[in-house]
Amino acid sequence: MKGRGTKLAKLVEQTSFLPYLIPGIAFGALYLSLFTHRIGPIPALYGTFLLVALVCIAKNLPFTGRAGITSMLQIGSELEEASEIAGAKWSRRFMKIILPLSINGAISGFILVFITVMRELSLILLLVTPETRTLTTMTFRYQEQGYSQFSSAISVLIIAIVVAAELATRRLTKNKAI
Amino acid sequence: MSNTVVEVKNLTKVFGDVTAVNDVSFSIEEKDFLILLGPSGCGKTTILRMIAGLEEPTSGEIFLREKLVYSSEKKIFVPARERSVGLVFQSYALWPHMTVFENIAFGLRVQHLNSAAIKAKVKEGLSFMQLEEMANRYPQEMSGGQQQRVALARMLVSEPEVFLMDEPLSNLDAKLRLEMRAEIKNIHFQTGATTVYVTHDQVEALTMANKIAVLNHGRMEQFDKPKAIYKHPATLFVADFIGSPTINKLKGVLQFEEGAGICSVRGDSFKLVTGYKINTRVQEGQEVVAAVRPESVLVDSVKGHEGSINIFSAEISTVLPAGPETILQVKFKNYILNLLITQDVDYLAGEKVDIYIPPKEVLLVNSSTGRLIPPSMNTQ
Repeated sequence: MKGRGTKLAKLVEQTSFLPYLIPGIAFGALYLSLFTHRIGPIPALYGTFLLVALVCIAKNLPFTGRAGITSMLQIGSELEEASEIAGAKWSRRFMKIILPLSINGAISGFILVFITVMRELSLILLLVTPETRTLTTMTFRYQEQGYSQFSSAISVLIIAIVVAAELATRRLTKNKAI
Repeated sequence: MSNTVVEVKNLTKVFGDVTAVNDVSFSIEEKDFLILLGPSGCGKTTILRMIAGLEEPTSGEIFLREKLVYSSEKKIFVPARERSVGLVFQSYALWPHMTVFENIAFGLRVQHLNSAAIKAKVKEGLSFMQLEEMANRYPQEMSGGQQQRVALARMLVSEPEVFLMDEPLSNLDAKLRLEMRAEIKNIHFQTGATTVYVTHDQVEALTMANKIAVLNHGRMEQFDKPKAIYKHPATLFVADFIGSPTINKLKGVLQFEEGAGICSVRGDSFKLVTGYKINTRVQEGQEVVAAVRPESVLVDSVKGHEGSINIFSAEISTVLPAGPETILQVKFKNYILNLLITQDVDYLAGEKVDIYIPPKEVLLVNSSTGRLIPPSMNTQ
C-alpha cells in the first residue's frame, strides 16, 4: 500500500484500462493474430483454453485491479501500522490483517468479473475452437444453425449459474463480522 | 545521562515543499510523561510517527534508550517493528475481524510466546483495564471508551520501552475524556512507562504531562514543565495558546519610571505599571505587548489599593458563569479583557466595575521578536 501514488503505480493502473477501451471483437482478433504461431519462448496458444482465459483476464483487469485496490484502501493505513508497531513482518501483516480484511472486497470483485465473463461472446468468439467452446459460443452456434430451443436452454443455464454464484458469494461474505 | 529514553536531535521532516517539522531537538528520561502540544498542522503527530518509525525523517537523529534508530548522516533507519514502541492511535486502530482477546494477543503471538503465557498476559491486561467480560466481543460491538481501553491494553501487554499516544481522547465525549485522562495518568503512575503523548488540548497537557513541548509551524516554541510553561511562557504564541480563557494582551511602548526604577507600558490612553526593573535588557520606547492572565486581574477588590496604580474603570460586556468559576468579559478602552473569578458574586452585563492589574502579574513580550522579556529580571 505504500507504493501507491508513485509514477509507476499510476502507469500500471492506467495501462490496465487500455484493453477495456478496445471493442471486444477487435481485442479478440488482436489476440488471434498474436498467438497463432509461436513468438520466441511463447508457444502458439491458439486452440488452447489458456488463450480464452488469458484474453478474459486482460480485458477485465481494470475491474479486478480497482476492486482489489479499493478494498485494500478501505482498511485504512492505521490498521496495518498498528500491526507493524506490534512487531509483525510484512508477510504476517498481509496474511493476518490485510488479507482477512480485504477478502470480501476481493470476492465481490471476483463475482463481478465472473458474471461478465460468463456472458462474454464477442471477445472470445474468434478464439474458441470446438474443443474450447464456452456456453455463450454454443448458444451462438446453435442459433446460427437454427436450433433456437437449444440456444435458449443454454441461456437459461447461464442465468442459473450466474444467479447461483451471486447467491453463494452473498452467503460467503455475510458471515464475516465486518 | 544514562537514563535518557527518547532523544531527538535536529529532527526535520519535509513533505514536498512543506516543512512539517523544523529542526526539533529534545530528550526525555525514564518515567517522563511528555506531551507534544500545538494547533493542528504544527507537526506534533509527525514527530510522534517519526519516533515510532512509521515515518522516515528528512534529517536529524533519533535515539531510543541510547540506541540510534534513525540517522540521516549514517543512513540508519530501524523500522517500527524493531523499535519496541507501543502506539495508541487516534482512531484506536483495533482490528475489526478479531475479538478483543485476539487484538490484545496479536503482538504477543508475534513475539512467539507460548499459548499459556499469552493467555495469562492477555487476562492480566484485560483485568488491568477492567475489560474481563469483553474478551470475546468484536471492537465494533463496543463503545468508544471501551475500544479505547482495548487499545491501551493492547499496548500495555507488549511491554514496550516507550508508550506513544496520538490524541487518544479526541474521539470521546467530554465526561468520558475526563475519566480516561485520569485513567491514563494512573496507568503512567502504575507502570512508570516513559510516555510521549500528542494533543492539541492545552488543558490535557497541563493536567497530564510532566514535560510539555509546545510546537508551532513545525518549530518548538518551548520545552518545559507545565507550570513553567504557564507561568513563564517563552513566546507570545505559547502565552496565547496555553490557558483558558485566553491571556489578555495590551499593546504599548515601554516607559521608564525613573523614580521607582521600574518600567511601565504606555498604551492607547492608559498606563500600566509592571514589575520589571529598569535595566540594560529593556529600552525606553520599545514596542511591547503586556500579557496578563485572566485570573490575575482583580475585580472590585480595589479597596485595599485605593489611590494606587493600575486601577482602571471598565464595563462588563459578558458574564459566563461555569459553576465554581465565572468568566467575565469586560470592555476596557479598545480591548475586551477576559477575567476569571472564583468569588461568588453575581455580576450583570453592562455593570461598571473597577479592575486592578497587579504589576507583578504583567508579562512583557517584545513586539518585534514575539519573545517574552524574561520576568526573572524583575526580581534582581
